Amino acid sequence: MRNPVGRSISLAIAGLLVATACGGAGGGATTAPTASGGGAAALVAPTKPVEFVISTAPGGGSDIYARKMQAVIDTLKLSPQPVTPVNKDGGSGAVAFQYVYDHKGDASYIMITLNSFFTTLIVQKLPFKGTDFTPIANLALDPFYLWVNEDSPWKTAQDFITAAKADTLVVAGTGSKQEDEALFRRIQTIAGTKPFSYVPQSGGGTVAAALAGHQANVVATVNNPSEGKSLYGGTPRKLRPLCTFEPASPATGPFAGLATCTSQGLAISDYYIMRAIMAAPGLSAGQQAFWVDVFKKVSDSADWKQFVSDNNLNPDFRSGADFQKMVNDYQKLHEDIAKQFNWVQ
Amino acid sequence: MEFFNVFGDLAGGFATALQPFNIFMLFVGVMLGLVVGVLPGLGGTSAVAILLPITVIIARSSPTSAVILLAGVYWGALFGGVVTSILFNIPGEPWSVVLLFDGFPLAKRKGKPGVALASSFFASFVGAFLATVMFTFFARALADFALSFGPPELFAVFIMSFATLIGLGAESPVKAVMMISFGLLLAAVGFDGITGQPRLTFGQIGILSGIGFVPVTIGLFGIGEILASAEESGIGFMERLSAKVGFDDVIETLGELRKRIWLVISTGIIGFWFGILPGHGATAGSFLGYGLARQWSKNKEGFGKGEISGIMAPQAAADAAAVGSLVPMIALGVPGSPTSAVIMAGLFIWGLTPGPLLFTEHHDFVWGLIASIYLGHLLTFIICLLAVPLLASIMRIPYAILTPFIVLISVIGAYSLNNSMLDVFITIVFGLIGYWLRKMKYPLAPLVVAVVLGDSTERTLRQSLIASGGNPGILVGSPIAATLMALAIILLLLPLIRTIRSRGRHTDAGIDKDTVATAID
Repeated sequence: MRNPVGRSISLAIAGLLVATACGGAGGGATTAPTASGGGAAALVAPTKPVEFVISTAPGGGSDIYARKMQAVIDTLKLSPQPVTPVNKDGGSGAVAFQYVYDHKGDASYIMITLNSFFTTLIVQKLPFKGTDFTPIANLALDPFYLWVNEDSPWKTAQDFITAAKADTLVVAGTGSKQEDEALFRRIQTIAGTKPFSYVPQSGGGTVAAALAGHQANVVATVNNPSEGKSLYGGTPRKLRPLCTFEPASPATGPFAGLATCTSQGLAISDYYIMRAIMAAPGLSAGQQAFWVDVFKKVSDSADWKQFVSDNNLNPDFRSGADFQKMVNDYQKLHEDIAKQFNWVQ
Repeated sequence: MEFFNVFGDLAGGFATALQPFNIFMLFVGVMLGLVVGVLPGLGGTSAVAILLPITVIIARSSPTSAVILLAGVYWGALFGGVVTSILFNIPGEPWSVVLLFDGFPLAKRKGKPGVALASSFFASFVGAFLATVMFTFFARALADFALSFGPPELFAVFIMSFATLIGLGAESPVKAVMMISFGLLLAAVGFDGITGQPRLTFGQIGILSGIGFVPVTIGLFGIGEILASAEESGIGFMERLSAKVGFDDVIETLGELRKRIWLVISTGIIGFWFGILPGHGATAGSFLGYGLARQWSKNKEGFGKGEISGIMAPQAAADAAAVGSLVPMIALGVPGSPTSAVIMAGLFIWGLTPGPLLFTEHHDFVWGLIASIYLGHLLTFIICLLAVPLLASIMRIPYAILTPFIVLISVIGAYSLNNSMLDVFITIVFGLIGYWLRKMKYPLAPLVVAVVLGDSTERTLRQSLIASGGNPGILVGSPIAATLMALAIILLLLPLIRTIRSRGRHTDAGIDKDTVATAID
């Protein structure tokens, strides 16, 4: 056991050094497409090492998902070319989008996207559109819960709404003019509460910490279950979810039976963080089909399924027209919020 | 009762960490960390991120071995990062930026590179050891307390850092304030997380992530120093280089450490606390450690010219903060520093959930990690001390020969940060700015402090004000924030009062001016 592990490490390190030394200059050798058939187009595999671009810093939300996917691709040898995670964080995703956009027609550039794929493109007025990228697939939907501190008197979403109508509440979320704020602004509109004082934080962990520590009067968040789980599971419990913004209660896991927000009079049940894959603009149908196939296999793997259930994600593989419809719906939803709250100056 | 359990747990942890394969992983991690730490640019955080895919393979047989490898890289980088700061005036890691203030002057101007290096290694070890003991006994209680540190409390802590450091250019407050303003302006460039809008980027996507302080400091200090040295040719420092070989420097340093042991212990404790506060970590801790060392020192004039306290205090704080940054990650699932955020990503990928349950559900993992922190630091410390004579001998090479080499690693270091030419450009521009500022006798330290801490200070201030609906009362709203803010104000006013009092007694302006002139070298 020990020797093979040691050897693979030294090999991998050697490989890394070579990869770093070569920088982006790779390329050259071409491998024939490995698989064919399956869908309408023959699968065309990338011909040089693949960069799996991540729009957050190492350790951030989608970084973890991307690295897990990369580990599955690696273990199951789904790509003939090595796939390396590359962090291009900055500007809420703008740096990563620009980087992948600049590699038009190159199947060796894929990226993991979340809702910043909509919000950032709308708010920052970048010189390209979401539709420019080659859509691959959505793998999972990360639900939102409404969280309060364990010692909060509120037991249901209705209690929260009543309080929010009486006073301006301080709430926290990840980033500004992104998914967490989008959801709070929707709550504000639908339930007719006073405008929330929204405190942007740098990441899901700090959002949970702000709520758990009563920092700066923060009384509620809309963390994902995986972000709040640590502080929910410990003794003494520090955080507590009131409800989930899903159409149905989770059936299994630590949050099984959690009420839906809709059932408590807060009718939002269509909002998630997508955990989706986009590729460089202008890929051929064959190149696109190759990546759809790879991520379908990732999604079907036992390893990924375990990870999805450990982190309370909803498995939701969709590609093609189905994925396109979801992208279009989210585009519209975020454009409407951006317009309503003057996010674009 | 609980207290005695800890010893049993720790013994179990050592049994895990001392398994041959885990020792091997620790050694590999530490060596890799030392290498990436010494090279400027590619830092501990990116090295840990690069290793993540490999740890997936290791974690299948044992997640403990995987985390020991990653943590080993962190410790190695902490020790290794100081080498180029001290020898070449180029920071190897963000937290070794502060060692430019006194480390390089001690190595070059005073000709004691061995003492400078050994000082930092000793301080690292003492700070880390202290922090690990606190980690062992109080991890969960401290992590809980850290949760209550919100934006207003953190803002007060940052103001404290500024207050302790503002006096660095004390004899010319106007110039110091100008430099701080320039630094804050630079820190403002980039994507503004509070409004979600780009700021001062002129439409350039490349600088959305801001102007990194590592390329700025590589330029200001590394390149700037070379340009300034080129002018004063003939003032070689060769002859001033002490003739000691072997481990005499190490023994000399041990004596210096004994004189400053309380300073090292107190900055270690402060650094540890800084590390626990979510999202900050070693860099900010090292600056506060430096500022406090200077405030407390009787030999204030020696700072900036190669004062050993100015090496030991920040380094003890930085290493203790790094250990501390693992505490909230393990105990709460909230990372305390960028590097611990990456290690936390590893935990998720291996199928572990960080947080309070980790202590009960993955008992061996947690205690194996804690034991490996002791072992990792001991290992790194021994390797580094053995390397001191070799590293110090680099300074015997004539500066004229070293110069092109330093420029080369500066440029490569800047490029390797993000594989971007923009950072190289920033390094060169700030090299010229650094040269000019030296000529004009502007202090560089306040500029660097503002660039490093400006962003966090601004963010916490704005978060506080959003939460209070614009009422500044929130900044002293909690007992902790009020106490810290009061301390900050005292720290800010102390040097002023002291100056006025000493001016009242005797005018010594001539010497003071000289201090400023040398302090910026």
